[in-house]
Amino acid sequence: MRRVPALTRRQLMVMAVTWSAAGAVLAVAPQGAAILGIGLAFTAGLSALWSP
Amino acid sequence: MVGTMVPIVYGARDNRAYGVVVSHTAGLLIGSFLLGLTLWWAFGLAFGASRAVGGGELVLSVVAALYGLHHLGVVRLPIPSLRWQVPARWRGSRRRGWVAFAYGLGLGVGLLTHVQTASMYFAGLLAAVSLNAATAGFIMATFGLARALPLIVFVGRADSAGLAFAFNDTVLRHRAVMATANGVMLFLLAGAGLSWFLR
Repeated sequence: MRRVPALTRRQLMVMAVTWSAAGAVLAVAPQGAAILGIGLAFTAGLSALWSP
Repeated sequence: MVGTMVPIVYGARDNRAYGVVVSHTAGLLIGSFLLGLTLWWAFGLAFGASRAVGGGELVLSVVAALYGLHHLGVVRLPIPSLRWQVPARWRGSRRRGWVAFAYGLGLGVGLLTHVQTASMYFAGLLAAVSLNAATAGFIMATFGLARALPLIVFVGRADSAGLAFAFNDTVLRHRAVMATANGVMLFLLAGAGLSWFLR
């Protein structure tokens, strides 16, 4: 599987840590779980554009 | 997906296309909303009204991070999926509105067809553990809405078919956008899961 989009290991690590930290902050917000669920569902829906 | 929709590719540029897209969108929204309700109800049945699973947040965090890495191409993990397709004979049906609705209903349920990303399963999980059934339904209805958006954008355009194919080509060339967006969303969830576990 190709690494997307040609990220270095360091860039991947920074990305994972940064977004995980943002997620930890979002988790304590009111309705944080619902917001995350909506974000995931929306992303999954748009990703269907790439369906075979 | 846009390229397979009845009115844009196979139909004429007439007002009936709007009706078909409305039917399809209604099917998508109803199907995905019902999926949310079903997941919420089934999870409550399995784990009780508290919806608490001991250590579940930590497991969620680790698995979400792994699937985030999967979408970024670092590790390879399976994404369970069915391969059901809309029957080709539906295309020839005269009852275009009903076909579009049924097509949307099937795609809205999502889990019955090809699942492209792990985000779908995690969205379903968050719907299942949400506070009430309505929230669960609305979370999954977002999936249906996102699936309908490209059609809604294209239906009113004068040269929908040409635009749709051009859009399809562009989309396929930018697969990394989808992978990165899913990776980001799953890392967000991984962080949230850890935060819920530590709280």
